[in-house]
Amino acid sequence: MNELVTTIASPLPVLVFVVPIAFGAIILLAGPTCRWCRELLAFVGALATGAIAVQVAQEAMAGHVLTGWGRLLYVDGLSALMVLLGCLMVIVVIPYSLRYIPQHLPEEQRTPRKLNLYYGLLLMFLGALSLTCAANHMILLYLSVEATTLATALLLIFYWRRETLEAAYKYLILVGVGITFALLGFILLYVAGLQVLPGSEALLLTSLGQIADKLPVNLALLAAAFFVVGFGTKAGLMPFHAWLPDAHAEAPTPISALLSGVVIKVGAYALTRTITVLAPHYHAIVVFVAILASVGMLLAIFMAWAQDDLKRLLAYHSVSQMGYVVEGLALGTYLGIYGGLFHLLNHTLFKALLFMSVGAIMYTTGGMRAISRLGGLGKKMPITATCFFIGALAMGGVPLLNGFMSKLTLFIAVAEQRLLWAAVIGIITSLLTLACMAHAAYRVFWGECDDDSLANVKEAPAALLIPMILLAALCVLLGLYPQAAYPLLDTAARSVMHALGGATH
Amino acid sequence: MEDVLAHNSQLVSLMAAHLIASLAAAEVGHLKCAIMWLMIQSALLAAIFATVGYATGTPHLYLWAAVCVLTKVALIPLLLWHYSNELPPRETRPIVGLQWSIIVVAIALVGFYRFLHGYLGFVAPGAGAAAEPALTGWAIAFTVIALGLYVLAVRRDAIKLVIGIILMENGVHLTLLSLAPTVPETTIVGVTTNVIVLAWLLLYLTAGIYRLMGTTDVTTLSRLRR
Repeated sequence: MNELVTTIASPLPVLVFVVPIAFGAIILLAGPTCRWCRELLAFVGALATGAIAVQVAQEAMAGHVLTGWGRLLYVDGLSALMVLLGCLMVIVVIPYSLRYIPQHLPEEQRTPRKLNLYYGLLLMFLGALSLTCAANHMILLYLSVEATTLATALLLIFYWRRETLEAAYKYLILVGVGITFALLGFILLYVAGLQVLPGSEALLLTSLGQIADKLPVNLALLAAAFFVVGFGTKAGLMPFHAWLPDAHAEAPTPISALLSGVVIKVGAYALTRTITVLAPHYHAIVVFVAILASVGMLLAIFMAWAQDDLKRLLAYHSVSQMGYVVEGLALGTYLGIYGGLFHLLNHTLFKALLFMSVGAIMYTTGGMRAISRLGGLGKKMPITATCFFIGALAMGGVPLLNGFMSKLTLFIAVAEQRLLWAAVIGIITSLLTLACMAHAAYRVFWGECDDDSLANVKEAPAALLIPMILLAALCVLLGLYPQAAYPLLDTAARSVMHALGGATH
Repeated sequence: MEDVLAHNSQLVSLMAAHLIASLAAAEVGHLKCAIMWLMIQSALLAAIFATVGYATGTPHLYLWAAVCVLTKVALIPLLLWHYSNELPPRETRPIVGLQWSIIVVAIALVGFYRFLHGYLGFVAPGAGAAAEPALTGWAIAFTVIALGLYVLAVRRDAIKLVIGIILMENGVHLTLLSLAPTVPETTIVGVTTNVIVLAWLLLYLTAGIYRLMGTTDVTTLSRLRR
């Protein structure tokens, strides 16, 4: 599996984060613009970044690894997958926000400057995400992960309400503490690397990977523990997930989709990048992470069952689903990593779809999201109901939808490693997820409702529905034809395997 | 190394003073006094950087010290001072008092000191990090990080929580100096800039929470838990 890859110096690793940051800065600095100008600029910025990401993915699929700024930046298949996902999410979030964001903004706050801030920060977040995926320097990785947190915290408080401030405060404190632990992990890894490598080389993840078998075992394991706590907090892994339900529930819905779709994946990505460096000690770490992921995925479902708030329910499901992703990545086998990355991609699609469907309900009902207060919306909002069901069934692992394919891959990968207890927990969690989502969907769309305010509810506008239909179509497409994602996922999985192989050889 | 050992007593004294200032920043109830103690704590950190730079003849550590003075001694306390003007002068009563803090700090210090001096082979850092005063610096740095975590766990005031995070970050920087003083200065600039943005955003939110809810008691931030 330790295949040859060609390393090429290229401007693409720089462009992939500079372009969105430049677009973001232009939007932030612009004054009152013509109607739709800022939205168009943000959309063009996201598309341009997407085009660069496609180019990067093609290079990765051709067996090339791109480097920039010496070797400070390093872009392989895994980076390409993550940047593409980030671009896709921002591209669907922008049209969704056109109608959604101004509607929930108080009249006095509906100023061009405020809207510039929203779209500018979206692009800044995309820039920070791309930099995270391109960073090969440990401190650059730390800084860019923190930058994604800061940008999303500002987006989270966009409505400036008590609940959003409270959620953002918890988010910043907990993720801030987590990232400080990750920094401590980087320092220990650097110190360990210094014993073999010259100063600046010991800060590069690829260089450390080459000499991982020479690192002091306990120092490396201590660093790994700090990475698990630090990036596990960012990824929303149980028991470090306390910030996640509040932040996902209280953020403006397009930002909830972004948080669940890609922000928590940044933590999983950083964890993968750092832990794979320590491949010779991988098995000692894997057992710990696998137990954490398995127990977390099951406990989070019980917490989800107890929720009456649709967005909080989805947030707890995110904690649970991240367990599948991390478990797959932690297995260290090709199939496990492939399954983990496939589920990462699928979770982005169906969870963003589910949050956007809840957003459509909130849009038409004036902000209602309590399951107990909603009911009978199926006939009034047929497209939203269909989208929600597709997302719910996909997350529950129903055949012919994307979630089924990735979960099946993961269960086979886990069983191959004779971790039957983990496979059983995964299957039970999946069944409970399906039951929980079916119950919520039935109550909201076909349940009885006495609330007269819902009598005149109509389907959400096209600006909200089009991104939802696109995501629903992708969920169905990847369920019926999972090979569509194979080239990209295979390249990404091989990149991780290459990092593991490079470290052990 | 001999040059460093010649300045060993000064360095250990500075580190001890740094730890005492950390405890004061965590414990003093009057917020502006706590900010002053945080400023002193950061100034002592800068002095430690400069002393190690002087003792080892590594000029880039002077730059570390200068960055520390600019960001941690000037900018962060200035931000804290600015936002605390809008808030009540005294912190919200903490969950536990001074005596527990002293016990926690003492246990952490003794524990880390004995562990690092007795079981160094367990972590096996490089030769520089395994000698004095780096070992003592490492123990004090981990104690300051533990103190920062303790503040986050037992204080109820939002400003005190920000001070807790900054204490943790300062502890990490002392770890960096103790274990890897050769790290490029751009690293220090990046890491400290990051802390400033994080501190500013937390203070901005604290002021917003106070305006909307009339309190900085984080235990009242419980509406979302229902």
